[in-house]
Amino acid sequence: MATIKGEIPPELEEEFRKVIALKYGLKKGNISLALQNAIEEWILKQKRVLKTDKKQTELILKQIRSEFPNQFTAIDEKGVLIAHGSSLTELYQKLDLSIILRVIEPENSRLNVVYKKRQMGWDLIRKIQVK
Amino acid sequence: MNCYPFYPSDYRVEEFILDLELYSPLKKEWIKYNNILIDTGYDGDILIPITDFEENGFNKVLTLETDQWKAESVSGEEIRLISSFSEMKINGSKVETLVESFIGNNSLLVGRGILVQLITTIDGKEKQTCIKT
Repeated sequence: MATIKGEIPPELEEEFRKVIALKYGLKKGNISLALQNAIEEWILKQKRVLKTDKKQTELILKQIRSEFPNQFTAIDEKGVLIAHGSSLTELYQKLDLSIILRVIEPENSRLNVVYKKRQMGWDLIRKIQVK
Repeated sequence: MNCYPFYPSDYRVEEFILDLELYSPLKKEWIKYNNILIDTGYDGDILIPITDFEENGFNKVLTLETDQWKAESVSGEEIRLISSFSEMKINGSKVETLVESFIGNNSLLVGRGILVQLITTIDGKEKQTCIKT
């Protein structure tokens, strides 16, 4: 088994231990079990967020843009429209952000650009001085 | 026109920087970013640390292409980009912007996506970067 070290607020630790005791009892190894479950669940959640279908995406884009031209729109993971606004600040003021949403830019926006490659910067650091 | 003095650096020459504000979807307010490094090698708009990305709720308003792009760092490391949209106030103007980050990122930089909308003069004689919109 691997060991992960990290720090969490004491009140979160207390709550975590309380829930573990309620769910699994006060047996040895239950904290590790709960931690493993929590990490697995977190990883799955992240993967779900990062997974979309390309064809479905194109279809959603087409529908939303024809229905709300020149508007920024927010949809949920199922493609259901949550809100729209003529600017991003207007849109964001309407959202409570309790769930993860996808934002669609208008077709004529400068943000709607098709590109094939990305460049991430001149991150070439001279770390070692050669003598 | 706003001018920003070159920023002292541990490297051989000083860095080119600017100030801007970014709208936080979660806090619903403008967040000030000072002394942001201008990186002409970055083709995006703005790259922010992953902690800022999450604290300001950008991870709750993702672009559709969030999962569809992988970038590569100069060291060959594969990077999966997470992206969101926001508005940026720069030099008195408001622009729509792509906000990006990736897991593990601590860098804060402005790329060519923003520079192409401005007139940027690197004035080496006066040791300052001047921005005109």
